[in-house]
Formats: sequence, C-alpha cells, structure tokens
Amino acid sequence: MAVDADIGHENSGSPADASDDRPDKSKVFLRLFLQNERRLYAYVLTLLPNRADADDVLQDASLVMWDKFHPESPPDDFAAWGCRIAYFKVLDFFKKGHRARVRFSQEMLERVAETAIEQAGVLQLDARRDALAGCIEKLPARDRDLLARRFTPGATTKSTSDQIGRSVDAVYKALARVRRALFECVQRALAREGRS
Amino acid sequence: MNPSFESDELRGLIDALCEESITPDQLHRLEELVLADPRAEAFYVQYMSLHADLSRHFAALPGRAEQSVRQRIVGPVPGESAAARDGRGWLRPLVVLGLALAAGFLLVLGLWPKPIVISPRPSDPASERTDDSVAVLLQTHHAEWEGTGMPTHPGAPLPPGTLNLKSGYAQVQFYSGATVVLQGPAEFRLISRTQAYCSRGKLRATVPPHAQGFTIGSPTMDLVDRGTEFGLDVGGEKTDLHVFQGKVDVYGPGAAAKSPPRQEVTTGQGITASGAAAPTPIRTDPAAFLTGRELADRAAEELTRWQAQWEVDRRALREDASLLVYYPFQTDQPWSRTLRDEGGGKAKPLDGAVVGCAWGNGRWPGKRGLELKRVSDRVRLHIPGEFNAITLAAWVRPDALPNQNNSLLMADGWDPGGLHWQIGIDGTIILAVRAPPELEGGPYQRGAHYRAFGVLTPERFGRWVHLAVVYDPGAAAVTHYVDGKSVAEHPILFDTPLRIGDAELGNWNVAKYRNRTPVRNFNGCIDEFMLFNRPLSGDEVGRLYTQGRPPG
Repeated sequence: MAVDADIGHENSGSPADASDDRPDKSKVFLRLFLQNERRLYAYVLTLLPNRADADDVLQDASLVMWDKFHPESPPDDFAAWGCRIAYFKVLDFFKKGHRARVRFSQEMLERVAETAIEQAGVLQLDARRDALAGCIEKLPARDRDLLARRFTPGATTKSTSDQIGRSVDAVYKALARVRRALFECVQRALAREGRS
Repeated sequence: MNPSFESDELRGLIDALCEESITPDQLHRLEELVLADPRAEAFYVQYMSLHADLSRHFAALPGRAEQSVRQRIVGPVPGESAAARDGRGWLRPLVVLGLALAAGFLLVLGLWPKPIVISPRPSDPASERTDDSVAVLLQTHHAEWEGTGMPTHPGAPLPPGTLNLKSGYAQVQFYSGATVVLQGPAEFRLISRTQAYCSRGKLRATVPPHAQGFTIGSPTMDLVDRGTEFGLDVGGEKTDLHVFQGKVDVYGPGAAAKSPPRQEVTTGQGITASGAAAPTPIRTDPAAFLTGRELADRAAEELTRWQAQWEVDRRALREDASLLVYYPFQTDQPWSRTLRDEGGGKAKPLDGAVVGCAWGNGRWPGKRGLELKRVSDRVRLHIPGEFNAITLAAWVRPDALPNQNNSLLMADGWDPGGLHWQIGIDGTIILAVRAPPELEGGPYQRGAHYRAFGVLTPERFGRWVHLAVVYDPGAAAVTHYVDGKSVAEHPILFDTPLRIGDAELGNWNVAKYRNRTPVRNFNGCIDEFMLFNRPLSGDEVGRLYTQGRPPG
C-alpha cells in the first residue's frame, strides 16, 4: 500500500491560522472520528491482533489524523483515510521495535490491510457492525455477562475464569462458542436483509 | 464471495488469536491459510472485525484513542509537548480557551479531593472513628481569609464554625447537597449540614430538591429554601434577597420553623429588608451573584495564566546543572511507559521506566501525574555515581498510608550509603542512610534515620503536598521541608558518600537482599520529582514550592 512518507510528521499551522479554524475543526473532526472509531479500531486490530497494542496504535494514529485534518477540505472517505494513517502507524509500531505480542509477516500485513479497506463494502463490514448490536441483545444474559467480564480493560481469559470460578479451558471454549453464535447470527441477519 | 467460508482449523486459530494465546507456530499456520485462499482472508477480516466490535461494545469506557483526541482538541497537555520542543509554543489562543473551559468543567464536576474522616485513630479498636464535618470547601478564587481556625484549602472538609472571607470567592457545599458561593468580604457560619448563618456578605445558594429545607439565617430575616437558587446580600442593617428559581420562605430573624413564614418569595421576585420594617420588593439581579460555574471559569482562566508562568520558571530551572534528575511527569501519551528526565547538566537523560501505574490528573487540571495504587506500581530508575550532598523534592498526593513504610524514593536493597526516602504509617517522613561497612556493629548499624514526625496525617490525605529533604554535609544537617517550610532539622550522624544506583519511585525492590518483599508501595499520586546534587537553601526550596503551587 502506498503511504505518504511524511504522514507522521506534525505540521499544523502557525498560531494565527490555527486559531481561525479551530472551533469548526474540533466539531467536524470529532464527529467524523467518533462515527468511524469502531471501524478504525477493527482495522487496526485485524492487522495487530492484540487489543492493548491496537489501542496504543490507534491512539497514536488518531492524533496524527487530528493534526492532518483540514475541515475545509475533509477527506472524501474518512474511514479509508484514517485507515491509511493507522496502517502507517502499525508499521511504525513494528519498526520502533516495540515488543509486539503478535506480529504478522509483511506480506500478510499488506494483503489484509488492503482487503480491509478496498473490500470493506463487499465484506459488508459496516452492515455487520449494525447487525451485531441486535445479535448481542439476543444473547442469553449469562453469555453477555461473560463477554462484559472478558472485555473489561485489562482482563484476560485467565482473569475472567478466576472471576466466574470456571476453568480457563471452559471459559475459552465458552467465548469461542459465543463468538461463533454471534457470527452466525450476523450472517443470518444479513441474509434476511438481502432477501427483503 | 461466500462470506460463510470456514474450517475448524481456521476458526480454532482465530479463537487462539482473539484470546491472545496464539503460539508463533499457530500464527504462521494462520497466515498460510489466510494467504492461500481469499475466502479465508475474508473470513479472517470479518471475524476480527466482529471481535473488535464486541470489545468496543462491552468496554465501559470510550477507547483510549477517543480520549486522547478529545484531550488534544481541548488542549495539549502543557509542558514538554512536541509543540513546545520545536519552539512553536505550547499555548495556541483557542487551545487556551478550550483548556480553560475544560478546567472549569472539571472544577464544577468536583475534581477536588474528597473529604476524609478526620478524628485520630482511636486507641480502642472497637470504637469507630467519627467525623464532625458538615460541608466541604469546593473551590476558592483569590480568597483571602481571616484566621478563624477553619481549614481554607480547596477540598477541605469543614466542621461547624465561621468562615471569614476578607476578599475573593469561595464555594462551599453542605453535605445535604446545598451549595453556596460566597463573595468576600463575608462572614458565614456553618451550623449543620442543613443550616448556616450569614452575618455579612454576598452569597448565591443553589439548593437541589433533596436538600429542601436548607436554612440560612441573617440579622434581618431567616430563609428556608424550598428547592431553588437565590442570592442573598447582607450589608449592615439591610438584607436583599433575590430568588432566581424556585421558592423561599422568609421568616423573622431566629423565627424559622417556630411560626408560619412571614412571606413567600418565588422565581423572579426580590425583597429588601432593613431593621424591623416590613420587606419591600426589589428587582432581581442574577448577574450580581457569581455562580459556581462562573467561579470555576475564572479559576480556570487564572490557571491558564499561571501555567504560562510555570512553563517559564521550569525552563529556567532546567538550566541548573545541579538538577540531576527532573521528572515533570508530563506526557502527551497516556500509554507512555517512559518518565522523561528533563534535568540539565548531563549528556544523557536519566529517564525512568513506568511499571504498572496509571496516568491520571496531577495537581491541576491538565497536569499529568502517575497514580500508584497496587503493589506492582513503581517507576524504575538508575542514578549513577556518589553524592556528598543531595536535595530531593517531590509533589505528591498521598491518599492513604496503608503500609508500615510507604516509599517515595528508595534505592534497591539496603547497601552502604544507600538512600531511602519514605513515609511511615503514622505520617512521619524519613530519610534513611545505610552506614558504611566500617561502622557495622556500632550504634549506626541500622543506619541513620532522619525523621520529620506527624507530617502526613489523615486530614492531609487526598491533598497535594510538596515534600523536600536536603542532605547537607557542609552544614552537617538534614532538613525536611513540607510545602516549602522547614519542619525538622537533624545533625548528620556519620560521613558517607550517598548512593542511589538502581532505585524506585513509589516502591521498593529489595533485590538480592531477600526473596520476600516487604510491601512498601506508595498509595496516591506523584506528579513531579527533582533530584539536585547540591544542598538547596531554605529559600530555594521555598521557591520550588511557590512556583509549583497552582492557584486556588
């Protein structure tokens, strides 16, 4: 993927011109960013499948987006624009010798990075996100509770199993089962939409 | 494309990835599968996207990226931001505005430390400690106080008693929920959680529905609030009441609850009363009474101005070659694991490594600090060399002293010349120095312990305090300072070069010395640390405190 060489470099303008556009810029940027935050996070996690690392990288990337963002000429597709910046930051993350907990090969990174942007429509990533919320509501309370505990900041499979008094293996399998059920629920929801 | 492509193997590998337990071999296999088949790749992207969405859906807090974007938009964390480093200056006009508004907002939300039970620990463990406070001093602005024995620092719990505000503003919140903004000169007596008396001055009271019945007495009338917002101006013989919202029952002085109200005053009505004469109507003037929000905004504006000066002061400080270590605890990156050293006078910075801890707010809104709570929390650092003289200074907010010893800065282990700066369970500040080997077996075999007794008592918990200790062989003295003032001075017991080497802020590593580690983690927040390789004078320590103390 082609990446702007200077994307990481901060170059917001002088104090005078920064003040002229700032109130507008804050509002416009924040709205776009929040609209696309989940999509951006999913993108980063797909390339760097560790939540803590992905959080770090997205945070870094978000500040670059803010610095690069000009409200008078916003990007046509904020998500794609943001993903490209995030991609650069993922590479940066590896380059800086962070001890990444999971590290894909360059080939894998390039392929997946491109697919996740270029094929986002075909893969129905946004529609899936919408459908997921409905599927989560249909989950039994017990499964929802399990997910809530698992996704508490800092929680692991192990800490979740300690909390609910089941074995790590049982929790692991339960989480895999819930994800599978949700994935299938999303598939069915999209298939229904497709028919109607 | 068929999005339902799947195989048990692929699914199993992705599950291992989601649970963050994948092995390198499995990761390699996953790549093979994904790269070999576009359907597998599509499945991978969709599945990970679902995993990410799930994670966001269930996370209670907004993502860190969102937090940092909001923070950046509101204003860069002042200090050594990238902007400051490349000379663009850290304050852009609208950022200042944003920062001020945000700070005001935080003040309004009640950023100040919570009141703490203040009676001493009882000797009889069966009896519970008690607290006689009825209100909390939320915030002040340019407040000048006449000493009445009442605490006057923001965040202080207030017992019944009289606040004598010579000038400036102060916001008091009663435990019943009623809030009063006082404008000096004012004399205001706190009687209980639901009762106060204003003998002179201006105030604006905001009484939420659950605090109905809140009573303020004055020389010419008593007011019983029925859930409202009103202004009261007591001057000499005359008292003005302005009801901005809701209803107030007016009684004769000292007559509240004993007789039916003399008068009801409701939204938009005002009355003035002087002496025993019947009150007459006046126009209400909301602008004449400062609101809590306005007070917070003013404080925030002042803070912004003050911060600019703080930046200037600390730049000058960095020129001091004897400032060997200076951790301002400022970072743009809340995830950062490095504590940047900005001390001058050496080629290589002595950066610290943040272990555990959480970045939080320091001693003013916008200032960063490290929250230490768990036994794992610490900052690792290495300070090479030997010192004859040393000055240690830190801004800390102790929240509790749960351990026998609570570390500020402690050299690893306990080796000859080693330095341990810590706080005892009773609030005593201790600088300990291990004796050199030739003194082993003598009176100093347990080292020298230079103490300042009873400094950090429970009523100081939750508040920021500036601590410093000066080890000065020239004057043969060790001096402890609290908030810039000397609190204890001791003769130096023996000569030995001081060593720090590997050390920790806020915790202690016994290293090879023992396997079982005594628990000495600091409990609270640290937002500034300095180490000078020379003795600072009392004036210099005083300046560190006054320059570093935010207004309010």
